Amino acid sequence: MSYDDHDDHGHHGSWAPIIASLGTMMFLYGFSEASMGITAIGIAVLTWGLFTWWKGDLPFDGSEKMGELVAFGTPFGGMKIRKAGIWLFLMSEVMIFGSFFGAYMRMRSNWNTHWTLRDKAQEAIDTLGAEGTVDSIVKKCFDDHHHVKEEACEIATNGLVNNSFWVAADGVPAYHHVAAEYITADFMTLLPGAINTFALILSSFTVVLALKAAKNTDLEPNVRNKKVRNYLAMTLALGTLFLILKLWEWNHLIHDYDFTISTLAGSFFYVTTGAHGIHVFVGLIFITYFIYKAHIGGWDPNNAQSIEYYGLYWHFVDLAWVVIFPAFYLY
Amino acid sequence: MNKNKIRVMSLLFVIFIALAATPQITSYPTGLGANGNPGCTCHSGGAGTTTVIVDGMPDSFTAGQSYELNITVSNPSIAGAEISSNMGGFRLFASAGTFSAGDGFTDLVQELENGMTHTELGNDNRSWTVIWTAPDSEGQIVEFTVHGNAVNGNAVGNSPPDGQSGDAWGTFETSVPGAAALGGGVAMIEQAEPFEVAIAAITFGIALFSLMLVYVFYRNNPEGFNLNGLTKWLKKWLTTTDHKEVGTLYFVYSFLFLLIGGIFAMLFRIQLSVANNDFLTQDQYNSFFTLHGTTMIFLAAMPMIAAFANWIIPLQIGAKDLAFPRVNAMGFWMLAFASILLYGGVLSGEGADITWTMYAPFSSSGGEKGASAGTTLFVAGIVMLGISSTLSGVNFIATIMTMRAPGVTWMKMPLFTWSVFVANAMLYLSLPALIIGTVYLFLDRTIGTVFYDAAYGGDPILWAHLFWFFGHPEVYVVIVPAFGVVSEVLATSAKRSIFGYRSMVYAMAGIGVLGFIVWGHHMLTSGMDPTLRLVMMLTTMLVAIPTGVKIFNWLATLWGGSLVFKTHTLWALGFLVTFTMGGISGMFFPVAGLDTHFHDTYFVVAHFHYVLVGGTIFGMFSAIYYWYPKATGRKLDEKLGLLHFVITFVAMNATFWPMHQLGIEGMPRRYHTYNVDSWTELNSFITISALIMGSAQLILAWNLVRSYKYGEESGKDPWGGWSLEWTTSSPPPTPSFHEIPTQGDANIHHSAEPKGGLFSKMWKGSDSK
Amino acid sequence: MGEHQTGWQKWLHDKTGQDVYFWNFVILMIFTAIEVGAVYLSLTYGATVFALVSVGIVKFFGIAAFFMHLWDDERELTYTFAFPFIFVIILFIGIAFTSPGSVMGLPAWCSPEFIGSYSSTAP
Repeated sequence: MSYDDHDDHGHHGSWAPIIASLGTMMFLYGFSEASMGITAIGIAVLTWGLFTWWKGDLPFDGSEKMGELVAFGTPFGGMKIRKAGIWLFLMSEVMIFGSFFGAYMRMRSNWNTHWTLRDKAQEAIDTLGAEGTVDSIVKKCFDDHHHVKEEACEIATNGLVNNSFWVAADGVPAYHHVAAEYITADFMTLLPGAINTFALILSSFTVVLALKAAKNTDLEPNVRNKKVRNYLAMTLALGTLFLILKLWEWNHLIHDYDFTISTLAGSFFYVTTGAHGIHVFVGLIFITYFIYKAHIGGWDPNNAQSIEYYGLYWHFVDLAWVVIFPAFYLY
Repeated sequence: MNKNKIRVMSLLFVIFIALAATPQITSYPTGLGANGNPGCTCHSGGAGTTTVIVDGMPDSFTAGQSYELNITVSNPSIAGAEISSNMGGFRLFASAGTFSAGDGFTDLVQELENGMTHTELGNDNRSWTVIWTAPDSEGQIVEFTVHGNAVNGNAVGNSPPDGQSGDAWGTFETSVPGAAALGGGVAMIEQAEPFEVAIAAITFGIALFSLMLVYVFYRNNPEGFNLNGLTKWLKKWLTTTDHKEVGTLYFVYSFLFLLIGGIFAMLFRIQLSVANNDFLTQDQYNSFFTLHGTTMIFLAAMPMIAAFANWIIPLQIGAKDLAFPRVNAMGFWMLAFASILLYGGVLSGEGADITWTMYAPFSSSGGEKGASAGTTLFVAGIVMLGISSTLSGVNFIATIMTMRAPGVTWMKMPLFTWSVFVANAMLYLSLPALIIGTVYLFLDRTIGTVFYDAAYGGDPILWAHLFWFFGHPEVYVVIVPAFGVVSEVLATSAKRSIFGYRSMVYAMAGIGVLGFIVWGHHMLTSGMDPTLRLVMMLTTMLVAIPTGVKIFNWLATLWGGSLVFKTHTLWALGFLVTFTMGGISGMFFPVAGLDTHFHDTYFVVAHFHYVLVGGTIFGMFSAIYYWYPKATGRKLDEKLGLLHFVITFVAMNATFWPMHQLGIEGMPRRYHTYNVDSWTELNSFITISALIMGSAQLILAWNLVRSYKYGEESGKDPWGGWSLEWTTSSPPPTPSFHEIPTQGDANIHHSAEPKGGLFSKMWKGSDSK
Repeated sequence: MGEHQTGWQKWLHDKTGQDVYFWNFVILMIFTAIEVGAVYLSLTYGATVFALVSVGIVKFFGIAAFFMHLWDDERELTYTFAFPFIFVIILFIGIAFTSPGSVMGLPAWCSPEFIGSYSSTAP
């Protein structure tokens, strides 16, 4: 097996795990207690931990070229173990975004609104003499796009389902005016999201180009590293643009449309797109390290697979956006 | 090395400071952030010069007697009298008794949890009168804490000279003993605050534990017993990425928490031993059983499994280490720090009280009718546990999929490895649902999202769905590795290969897949879709089929072998008995009609303790006796082991069997007391058995420590096992194999063993290759 | 990877001078434009959903197959990636697409007040 030659690989102790875990704990503690100080310290400690982690890999004195473990046996025989690992990690990510979507679709199926409405419709028929069946009354409350028609609903239920049904006691809408209602109504609101979609696809493409350049044996080492650096820097720039535009768009939605996190649809919108944003942000942190490595001339065709593994993660983030964008912005 | 010394010393210093600061946390008027008893949170002024005087405190109280207490706050440097409103406030806590407003103060004071506070109107006063009615039992000491606040009106007028912003805290504390408690020390000890008992017991446990660590360090190298040696030694354990050392860390950690979780169980069993008991308050009871459940599942059972997986998987598949050693270490440390978050609430007296199921909307709401403040930290801890398990999950799956030595093909892989693979695959795919669910819950509690708040259209049943989508696979995650252990142990003890290897593998994989489509049976009474209810009923009953296959395969393995009764064999046989009984009582729940009667009764408690204690814990104990020689080179003492097994097995059945009857009679779970006198008899019996079972575990602890030094030398293969872990030395070298080994065939190995027993003559499988 | 292209990928490269990644990128861009445009075409509800879902599938395929190299890599990786989708579908069916019909959804004879008429669906 290929890992015979470097027996002690992986057996150096590392402070990174304990420091990073301590940082995570302090971050969560600070977040729970609404203490900005501890949160910030937590992030700092977490960064310290990650830095310690990388420092273990960093020297570029040839020790990192000792190759990596190769899988044996079915199903991944002959493949690099890290590659199998990143794909297994993506399984978890699929479930993460799957859970986000499951919960979101449950909200979008509107069952709890419908359920309550059916109750109200029955009550309107029984006590207020409303016309029609439960189904026909509920149908009048929604338009083709399943958006609520408040006035028609009030008429159909003889006034039973009025404004107070749709708005909670403190003025927050109880019914889910989803983000797409605001976003598709106005092209300027859609624009940042649309630009972001293009930006992410372009950034995926530049990662592929960087990988191609790093694997290209025909290039001089310094030309190759320069190319890799430039492509990755483009990715970094596009990712940063993505985050800036997203924050701008959130700001716009909160201030101009009063679409806050304290509404149900707002909770889903901000938390899901925010979780995706965090994935982008994590990707950007990693790519900074990659750019630094290219800057000091660390890439060659033998270690280019790291860019490939990183690319898998980055493309997956793109993939998640491909689903999030239509589901949260357009529909 | 000097640098490391500084690091370790500063780390120890920080821990010391944190421990020293812990007792201060509860008495701080504004509490531990949002986590402590918030006193009065209307102002953020610091503790200052305000004097709080309470008149009318008796020297000792008589049961049921009412006392009139006058509370006065004064602060000469804060103007108050000349301003018409917002002059002061108070918050009174008492550990027992009830309160009402004094004469003429009905509009000025109001009851709040565990005490009194001022009303909006009462804000305009600086003295108030309340009436305290003493509790019925005189054998206790009642603690009073009064936080008083002198306020400078609506922040107008002169600021006080000491630079405070117009209001300042003061605290008055006293304790009043009951008439009986005055008499002698005995009554006082009996009535010691259980909460403090728990904290003291945990502190004692940790202290004992640290002493043990120091002892082990000393035994390791008596000459090197100095600070420099200690820092080096600590550094080794804090930074290790070797799978065996991380496995040991997991084991020690899980054993510590097994004992802590047990202490909680003892405490609330004492509370439940007789009807109408008041040993624990409701809040204490709630937070104790929450921590008991969470500790046992997440901090004891799962790390124990991870410990054996870490230790044994690379050895069994012939790998030098796990695929990602540093990720593995990170998984452990995430877990270790998560436990601090889980327990953080308890330290400030506001332990989470949401049960391990954390049902929304109770868990997502705060305040008087919601979960206690420590819940936020608890939920954060659960998120961290999720991160930890994801990290270790990807590691185990990658290791088993990519690093098997020649000969260890999928259909020749030892069953323990298979079971860990199935369990981790399930855990890995179900955890995201829990992580997302708890992140939603965490954000609901911190930044005001409304995922589970029905008033805004949110959906509490979404929580139940997300939780149980994870939760049901989770219960298989803790039982399937025990299946693996029992398969290994029974095959080795019977001196033959396991009966029906393939069907065992398919049964486990079947349980793994079925486990994902049965979560609805936890929600049969929640009002979910009736169609889904029907589907989940049927799929849940299906799970009995693969489980039954496994049970019969084990029985067939015994039948065909010549059984050797070692301690690990006894545990495995005990597992067969108790797990089967737990499995049978489980078959009542998928029937929605019966579930309507049984849900949330002690019948449920009996069922899942039969499968978790009688299944997982017995399996893990079997693993301890079985693999301890591999890890240390010495066997555990068999006599102590026999004693441990007999006591635990009898006490375990005595503890959980009567719960079936209580459940059928309708005793609800999660209630802090009951008023049906006829239940007392069984409950007292249960409590005594539980105490016996708990104390019996000290035998194991003693055995583990003693045998480390004095146990019988074991050699490579003390039990006659065939898989690869027995081909390396005990304890194994680092890296675990210098040469990648090749695995043979179980049947060939066993056909070389001497034959015996009835079955070997009848059964072709054990004679043929 | 790029340097071992065979079959139609090689043909594409020879014919156009650009490799499959570039064309994949172009197609993704075009489909994104279609996606954004579809919302403004004032289609019916069903047509909008249809357009969004089909564009989504195309883009998903483009990224997974070519940017993530699943097309060229070992089939096992595709299976690995596809495996959790089984559980995502279970999750969708169980959590997203079931509504607690509860008493309203049950047939009349399930209700405690049922006295013999099968006509009403209300309890």
